[in-house]
Amino acid sequence: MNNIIEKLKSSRLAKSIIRHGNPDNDLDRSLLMNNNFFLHLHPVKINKHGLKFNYTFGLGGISFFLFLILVITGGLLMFYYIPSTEKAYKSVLDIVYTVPYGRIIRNMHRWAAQGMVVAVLLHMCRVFFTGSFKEPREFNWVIGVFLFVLTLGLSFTGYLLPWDQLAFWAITVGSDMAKGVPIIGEEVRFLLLGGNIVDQNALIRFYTLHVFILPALAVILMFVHFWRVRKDGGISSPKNTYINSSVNTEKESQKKTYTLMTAPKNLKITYGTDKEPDELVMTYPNLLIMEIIAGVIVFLLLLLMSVYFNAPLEELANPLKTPNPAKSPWYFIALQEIVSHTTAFWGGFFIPAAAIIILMAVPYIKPDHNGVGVWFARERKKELIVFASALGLAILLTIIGQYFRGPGWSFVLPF
Amino acid sequence: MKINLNNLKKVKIESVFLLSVVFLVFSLIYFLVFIFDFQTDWANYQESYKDISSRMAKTDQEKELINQFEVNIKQIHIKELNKTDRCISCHVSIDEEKFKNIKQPLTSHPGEYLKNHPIEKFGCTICHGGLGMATTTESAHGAAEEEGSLYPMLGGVFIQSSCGKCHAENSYKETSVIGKGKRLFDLYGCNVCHKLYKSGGTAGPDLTKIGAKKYYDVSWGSEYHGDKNISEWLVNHFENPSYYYESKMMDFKMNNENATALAVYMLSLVPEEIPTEYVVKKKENISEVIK
Repeated sequence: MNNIIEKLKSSRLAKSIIRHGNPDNDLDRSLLMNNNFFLHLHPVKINKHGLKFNYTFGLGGISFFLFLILVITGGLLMFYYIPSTEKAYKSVLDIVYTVPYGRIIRNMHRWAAQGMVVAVLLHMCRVFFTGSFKEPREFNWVIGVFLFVLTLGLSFTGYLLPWDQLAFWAITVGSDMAKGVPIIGEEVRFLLLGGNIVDQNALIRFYTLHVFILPALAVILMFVHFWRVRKDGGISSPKNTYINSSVNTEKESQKKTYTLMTAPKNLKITYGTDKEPDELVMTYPNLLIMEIIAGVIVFLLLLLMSVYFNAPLEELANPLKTPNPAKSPWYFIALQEIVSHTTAFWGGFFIPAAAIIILMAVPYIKPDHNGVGVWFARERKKELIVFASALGLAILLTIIGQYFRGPGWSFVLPF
Repeated sequence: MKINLNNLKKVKIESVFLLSVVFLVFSLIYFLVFIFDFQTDWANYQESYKDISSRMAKTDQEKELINQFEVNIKQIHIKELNKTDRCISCHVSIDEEKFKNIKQPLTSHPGEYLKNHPIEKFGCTICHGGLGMATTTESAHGAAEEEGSLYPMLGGVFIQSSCGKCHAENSYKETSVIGKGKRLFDLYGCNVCHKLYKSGGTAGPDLTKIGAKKYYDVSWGSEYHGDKNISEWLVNHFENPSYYYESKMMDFKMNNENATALAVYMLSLVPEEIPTEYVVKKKENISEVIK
């Protein structure tokens, strides 16, 4: 038996796939990272601080893992789903009731999508609360904000596809908020829906955005995002501080040719060297094992949830019958709540646009290096309070809109 | 979760061990999903249908037919009515009279209804309601939702409201309740306040599509917390208009029987487009109806 395994291991086929020996020593462990695709995601050695689960909670990785699940389940759903107002709803019923495992795959897609919105939001909070967006990671934070907006866009466009009452009216309400854009509001909505009402044109537009354009954009930005994490010195940590010595490195860089293994510029800790060995550990097995475990746990929870909880599916969309109240998807409900108190300009345009611009500008407003790599650092008290109260307000508005709003958007108790 | 990194290094988890753990977890999940999702009720019912029929079969020809029977999702698709009914996936022997003493869901259809309404032409949900495309009992019978059903099945006398979709007058003894409801509509003068089709008052809501209302279209007040069933709502509302909430409607002091008859008639007022070949024209004797 052992002989056969040994023979298999030394065969040309195996050698062409696995280009390193058994990863039981540090050399082979580095080769495992170095000679494989993993080097695109992780360096050979990583910072011990970034490995602490209660520092990152694995939120970025979980977001990416949920995205992968969404791509796979979404691809499977595409075999059966028909983006036509006549057939969309029936094809969803067919998926749920006749396709083997169709119900579970649809549920997984739905819950993973909701989970991804939550995971991405929490990931953003983690990055803010630990000050990880500060130099040299400012631009990666901006890309992250784009990815957050794309995640919402992906979820919103997917919302319409089942073509049931919930989908139809959530999108009608959601796209109505686009009217808040000054001067060209009507045109923006027209562009989004391909008409003045939510109909076949809107369905095919949302479908194309949902299955091709937005995922493609998200994938491209994700690659840049991950690449930048690696180039900016991995997960942030208090010891991994930024030193402003660009002049020296400029000179040095002219003399030396760097490889993929090169340490990120301007960082005290250089990777692949033995300058501070205590701070660095091998990526394999330490990080890869944690990633696999996290993936298995997320997948397990998602699957069990999909077995027991069905994704909502109401009756066929009926443009003549407005549910009262008609609510937008939950992640836009805070905006709907604002619209109900003010005008579409504030809730549909000004506040979301301002929020996105401010979020992107955050690293540039106050360019310091206070409290990087520490949860709720004392010296960042002010910015933390501002961010936390804005977040708290959004959560409060969402809860009010979701649970305390009845017919005519009047205040009701949820039970 | 705290991982001691030094320990982890010492233990040196072999990739083989790791892979086998992952493999085990995944196979366990897959096994669970398999149990929950693959063991469908309709397949079990069709198996027992096969058993019972083969016991009932007398001639070789019949036995041969049963052997050829395949277990799969069965459906009736009726283009004219825009319906796909999969009810016969469980009620597989609905049109076989010899199954009339077998318990549900294999019982054959009671009465002679299927003779005039062949299931190939009518399907099931046009009369019985429910969600025809569903293949689980709860969803098909409209019991899957917690609060109220989006696709409720019509039970008891309420099924007569479906007769009213095609039959203009109702003097058959099987449709006496909806016939009574129609007469009561005129007797109470509902038309004075409510619009029906093109004529009627505007004091109350338009009743032209009242039968299409779902449980969430009507007000249940703040006191009521039970199952929300639209036919039950109508009956209670007619008996006492302010049963659920303070209503402006006149109280006619109807008894339960009259309220039910009226509710059955209301439920027949649906905007469903019935093809002309399905509509049965007036042929009943009017004098017979008034009795």
